[in-house]
Amino acid sequence: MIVEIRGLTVRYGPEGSGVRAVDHVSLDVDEGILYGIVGESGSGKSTIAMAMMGLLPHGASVEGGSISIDGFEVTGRKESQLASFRGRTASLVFQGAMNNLNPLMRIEDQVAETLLLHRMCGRKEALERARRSLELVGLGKQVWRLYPHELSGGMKQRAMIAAAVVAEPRVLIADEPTTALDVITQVQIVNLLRQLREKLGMTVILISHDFPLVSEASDRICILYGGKVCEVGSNSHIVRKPLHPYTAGLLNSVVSLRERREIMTIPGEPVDLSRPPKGCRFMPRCGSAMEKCSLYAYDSYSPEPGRLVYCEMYSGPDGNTEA
Amino acid sequence: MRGTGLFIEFLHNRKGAAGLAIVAAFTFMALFAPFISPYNPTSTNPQAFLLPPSPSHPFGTDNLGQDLLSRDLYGAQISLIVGLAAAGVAVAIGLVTGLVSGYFGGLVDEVIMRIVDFFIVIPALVIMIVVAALLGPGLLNVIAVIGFLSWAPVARIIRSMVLSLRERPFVESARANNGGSLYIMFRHIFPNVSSVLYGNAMLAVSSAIFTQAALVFLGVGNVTSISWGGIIREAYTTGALTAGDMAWVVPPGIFIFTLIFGFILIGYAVEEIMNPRLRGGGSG
Amino acid sequence: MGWAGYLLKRVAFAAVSIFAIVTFDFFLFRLMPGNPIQILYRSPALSPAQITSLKSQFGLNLPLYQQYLLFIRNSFTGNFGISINYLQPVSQVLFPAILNSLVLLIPANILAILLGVFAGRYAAWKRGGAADGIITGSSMALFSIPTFWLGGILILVAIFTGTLPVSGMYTLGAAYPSPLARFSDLLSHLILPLITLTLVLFGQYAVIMRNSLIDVLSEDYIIFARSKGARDAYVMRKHAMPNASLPMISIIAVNLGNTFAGAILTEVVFSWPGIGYLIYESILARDYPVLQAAFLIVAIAIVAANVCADLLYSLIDPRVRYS
Ligand SMILES: Nc1ncnc2c1ncn2[C@@H]1O[C@H](COP(=O)(O)OP(=O)(O)OP(=O)(O)O)[C@@H](O)[C@H]1O
Ligand SMILES: [Mg+2]
Repeated sequence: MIVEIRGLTVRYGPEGSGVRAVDHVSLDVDEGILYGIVGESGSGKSTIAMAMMGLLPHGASVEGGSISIDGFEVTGRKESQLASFRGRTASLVFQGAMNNLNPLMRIEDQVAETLLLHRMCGRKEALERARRSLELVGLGKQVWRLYPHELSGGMKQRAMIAAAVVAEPRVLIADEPTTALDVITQVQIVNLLRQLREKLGMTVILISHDFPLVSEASDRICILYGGKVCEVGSNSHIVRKPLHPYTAGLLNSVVSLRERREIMTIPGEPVDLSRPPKGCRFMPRCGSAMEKCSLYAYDSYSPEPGRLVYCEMYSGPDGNTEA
Repeated sequence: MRGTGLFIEFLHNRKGAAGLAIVAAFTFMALFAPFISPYNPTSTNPQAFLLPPSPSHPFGTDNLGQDLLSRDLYGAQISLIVGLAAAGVAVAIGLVTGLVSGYFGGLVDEVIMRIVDFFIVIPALVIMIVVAALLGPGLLNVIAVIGFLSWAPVARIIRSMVLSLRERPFVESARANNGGSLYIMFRHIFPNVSSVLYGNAMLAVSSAIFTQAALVFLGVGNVTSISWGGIIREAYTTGALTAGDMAWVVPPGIFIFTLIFGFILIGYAVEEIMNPRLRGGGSG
Repeated sequence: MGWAGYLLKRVAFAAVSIFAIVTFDFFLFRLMPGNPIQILYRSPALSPAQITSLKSQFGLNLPLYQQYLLFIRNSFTGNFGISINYLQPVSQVLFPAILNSLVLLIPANILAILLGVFAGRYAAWKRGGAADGIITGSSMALFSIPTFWLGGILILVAIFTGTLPVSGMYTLGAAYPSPLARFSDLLSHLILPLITLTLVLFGQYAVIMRNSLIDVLSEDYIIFARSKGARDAYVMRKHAMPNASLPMISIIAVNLGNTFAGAILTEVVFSWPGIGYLIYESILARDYPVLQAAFLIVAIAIVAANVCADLLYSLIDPRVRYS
């Protein structure tokens, strides 16, 4: 288990009021796999990513839970301890990464910076490694010494990935690395993430609202809804036999899109986090909602080995409750 | 309405409320100077010259025996009149040139902006000194000199705002519907730049007050009327300053400072309301 | 267009500005009521021979456009006529005044910029806190203080404590045993005007620095740098400061005209024999040839300083260099 998140709860805004964007989320990621996190806009994906890096913005606070990455406990750390963890143990490719490059620095310098910050090597070697990293993501010689404004959006996105992997971190978190890119570039970037896992043995966490994209690439998938986990399982489990009604709905809309049937969407509105419903958050939109769903306390059930689901439907006699 | 909402937010802003209180106090002082001054500010008294502060003359008297407190109270009039009028001239010119420049773009814009650059770069106070000296004393001369030499920064800001507004959908659709330029400019663009204009107008007032005082201090401009800059100048030229006459020098300076600060506070508060990032809130 | 093109454009604009300034200068003095230049060269202070020579040098009997052409030529050769007040060639009056001004202006600007950058940076770092409030508040107060009054207050303090000279550059009629004694006399005269001008300039620099830093600190590349493992001090030094220096440079350059206004007032208050004091004396003496030349020199100096600022800006910002 290289990443262990236990009961993570993140609140934006002051204590008492404010919204819980992430609410008692637990995740386990095995070393060396590509782990996908899927959820619609506002479900708390970026918040989880930022919390994993210890980079939550001002006004956000971890209310409870713990995050451990490669044995390093992220929550409650001092800034200086986090600094030596970031970029080296775990690194993050930001959502909307195109705007994240410093306009005044050359691309290669921004990539090499991670190595220099951690004093992993001298300047010359750092540049060499940065260039190798840029080549790995498909950015050749002619790009190395350019400035960000001279790159296209896709090139910047690749440069960001190069910067994230240059120090060969144990865990790479990629938050929507392909949004706003054309389909061909999207595929290339996903292939790149796969390669990284294979070549460098990195654990990759791919975060996206794009279910097909994640299911294309990942070994395991976690589905988020309204700051809560819906279900976790291996790729084939989730795609072949979704357990949670929300997952089924997502899958349905994808299939209908692919088969050019009338598009089936999930009816209703996404949950309003400032006033979440009692019990199951998906209940207002759920076709199989039952009376007891409004009393659901988010116990996890494991109807099959290797998968977890957070849904009252599986609380029956054969659904084993996990602690 | 958007306007009243902004005004309420403004009153809740500590800087804004403080600035408004300061300006209101000086406006009162200027309007009621004849009633609250203990003496006629220009009546000389050869028996009572250079008196130190006392209950009958709280700030003492000058070398002609004029009561300094009364002169300091009357001084608010010129500062406010020149400050507001000159800033009004500057803002009006800046607004029109900025709107025209940003809206029409192209060659018009290029020419106007080069003129603006020119006026921003040249040392305005030097020209003001020269022109004010050549024109001779007079309230209107001072207002004109300050107004006509201070519009360039306003024009630049308005233009940059118009440039971004011009691409907005509501302006584009108004243009597609064959709205006249003047109509679009004043109906659609002006309301959107007005909030930024208020902040800058306040800064223009504060700098006009400063400039007026500086000109009078340098012996040009409306040297014949009672003004704070003039009172300070008299303290220098009569040697009262080097004689250590604090009651003569200190109060008018504090008045200038406070009034300018009041307008800056208002301008800053307006800017903060427009750009909430400046308010900050902890590091991070 | 490229770097060379950018610089060429700025230099061309500067050249046009200088030309416009010369033209403005010419007409300012000729089109004013009474045509002061014509009147002056009938001044009884000048000998008939001097008047004849001046009239031919400046073509005062020729049509206006020929006078204008002559004026341009004379300006470029540094022939500004004769000072009515000093009865010397204007250039000989001007030159020492310029040097004296630089003795005051250069240290005052360097000090003000250093202090302003330091204070503004600290305020931005602690934004919203007490230190920020104090620095922002006092900066705003400082640029509300009338320069000439602040100088007056310092004079009062100096007189009451009887410590520092309050007027001029050197003690009148002093005989110095050594160059060092002369220098220390200069320093003691410099202190008060230097404090005045530094304080007046400091406020605006501190506020500009703070506000541009706050803008920059919320940019995405700041959090990207932190995600690579950069600590706060490093982020400030390597990423925030260079980016925040760009608006700082352009605003300082644009404000040079105002900066000079502060210099005139300071010089007048302390009778510092610089170009500002010379302008003041020339106004009182209606010494228009000196005024005309002084305006030209100051304006050209400011235009030249703007070109330097553009150059500096382009050295820092690659977007200007390669666009
Ligand atoms: N800085 C913030 N301040 C207050 N609320 C925030 C902030 N950032 C996010 N939120 C709230 O937290 C919730 C989760 O946001 P988050 O960015 O994690 O969603 P996401 O799943 O990444 O969505 P997307 O797919 O749109 O990126 C949202 O409801 C959002 O409104
Ligand atoms: Mg997100």
